[in-house]
Amino acid sequence: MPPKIPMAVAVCSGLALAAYAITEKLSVELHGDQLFVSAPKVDLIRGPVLTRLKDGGTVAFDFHLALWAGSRSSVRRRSFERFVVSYDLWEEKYAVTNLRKPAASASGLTDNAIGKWCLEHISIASPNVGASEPVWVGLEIRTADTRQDTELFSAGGISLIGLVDLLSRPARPGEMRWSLETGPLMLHEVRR
Amino acid sequence: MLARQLPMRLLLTLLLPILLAARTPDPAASAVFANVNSRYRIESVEIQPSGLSKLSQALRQSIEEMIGARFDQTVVEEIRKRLRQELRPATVATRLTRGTAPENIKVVFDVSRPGGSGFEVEFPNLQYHSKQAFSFGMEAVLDTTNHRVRFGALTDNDELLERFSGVRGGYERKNLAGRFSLGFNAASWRSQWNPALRDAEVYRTRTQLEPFASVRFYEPLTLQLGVSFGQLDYQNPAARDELSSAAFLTLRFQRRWELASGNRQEFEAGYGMRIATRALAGDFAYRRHTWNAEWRLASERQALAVAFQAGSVSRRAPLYERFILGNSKTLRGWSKFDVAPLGADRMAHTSVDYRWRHLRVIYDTGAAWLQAGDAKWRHSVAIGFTDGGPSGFSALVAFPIREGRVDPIFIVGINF
Repeated sequence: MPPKIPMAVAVCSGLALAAYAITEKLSVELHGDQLFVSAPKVDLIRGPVLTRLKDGGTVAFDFHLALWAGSRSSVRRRSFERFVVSYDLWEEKYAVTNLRKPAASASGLTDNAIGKWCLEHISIASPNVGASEPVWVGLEIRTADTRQDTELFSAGGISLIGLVDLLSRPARPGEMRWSLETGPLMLHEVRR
Repeated sequence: MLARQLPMRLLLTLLLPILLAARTPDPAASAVFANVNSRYRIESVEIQPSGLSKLSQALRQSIEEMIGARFDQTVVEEIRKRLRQELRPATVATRLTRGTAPENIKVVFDVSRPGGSGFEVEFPNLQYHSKQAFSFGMEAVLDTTNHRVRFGALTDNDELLERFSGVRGGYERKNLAGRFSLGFNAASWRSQWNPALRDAEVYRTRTQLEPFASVRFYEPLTLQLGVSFGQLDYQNPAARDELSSAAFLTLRFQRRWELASGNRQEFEAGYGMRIATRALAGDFAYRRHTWNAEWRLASERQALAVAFQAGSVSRRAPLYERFILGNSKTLRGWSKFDVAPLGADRMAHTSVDYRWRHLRVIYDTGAAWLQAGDAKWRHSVAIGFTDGGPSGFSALVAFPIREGRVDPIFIVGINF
């Protein structure tokens, strides 16, 4: 008789696979008073995301950029952005739009260029930290349901309560996540 | 006081459209415009695997209105929700594919039944004809994304010279490499004949097996190839049973357009060929060609359809391969036994079918003749009621156009 796998184990394994997370190194740059991040490669377009896009649908990605100073106990600065990606069936290229203001969009992109474009359109204001105070920067990306949380983008800015609610929400079945971070580093050493 | 308020009211009135235009965009609309495919026009809409036939008239209308318009994700999402409500407990997913013309796209709604399959009971025909009595068929269909199995029973005195009754079934493996399918059809019929045909080569039973393969060249054009193996058991005890085998080919084209006026246009055309040779271990050797075309134009309240069909059979063919006119779909005011009592080997027919709300008027003209004889063109008109809904119900009274005594024919039923 073949061994039976408990249903709970199977479900948890499935969810774990669905919420497959990749931790990669993040680079930080300062442009004026805004802190931008970059990564060698942010591979967003793969698996079920690729299938959904090739079927002509849209996929939303929530980007949450956070900065810790002094210790990892509390976030000093944070920024949130939702990007909606679609695939042009005739040109066979990708298009991306951010939903928060100021709105920006691009089309004719390759799959590899999507992640890079998104990173260029999210930043956080540089914090006032001491010269010897270390900082950490982390980026969380997760796929989102385009039909959910649309009210968050109607206001000029997103409230902290709304953001916490959105980020603390348990993973949906099939949701994909990416995690990138760097630190500790000294802000005065960051490339400008 | 009023004089002071007026300029302010006037200013607000003038500014109101500007203020409304400058309001924060609807976030849902933002998400819609985020789909780069919104710039393309919808060429066609497909409901897979069941098609439009099971939907309400209102939903079918909404789906047809999408054709010709630019892709709008909110509209497509609304249709998806309505489909899910009507086809409950099925789930409905949306996908887009390229259309056949540049910058056109096709919207496909994939309907998945719980357990991955759709089981339905269909009624391909159900009608009463005052000269041919009842024809009735029922079929159970199990349809999944890649497989289709059907089995049913039928008694039909409308399509052929004989009344054939029995069972039929089939299996089809769909979506092989995206555009191929393989399958077979099988049927076992018992035939009943008009007493006037006693001396003809009438058979008592007919058994058929048809393996086939089909390929979708591009979206509106489909080719089907196959072989039909048949056995005829004759009524005359002196006649031996015969095998009737033929290779067949069917080419079918179907296209729909939405006109700028909002009217919908459809065109269907087909060509069929059956070649029976002794190389297929049959006792018959003949060639049968058929051509058909139909153009339909529909608006909210009116519909016009013009249909043409023609065919020819060369040499000796079994009676079920011969052509008839004078049934629920052709020369509706005539009896098939008045037009060609033994069937014909040449046929041409045209009909013009007009509907306005629940009124339906049809004009038919056609001829069925033998190669050695002359074609005699006949005409008929039919008028009656149609429900205009997905059931396809109509009740008609049809008259032959001829001199002398005229006997009307009554036809009531669905799908004709």
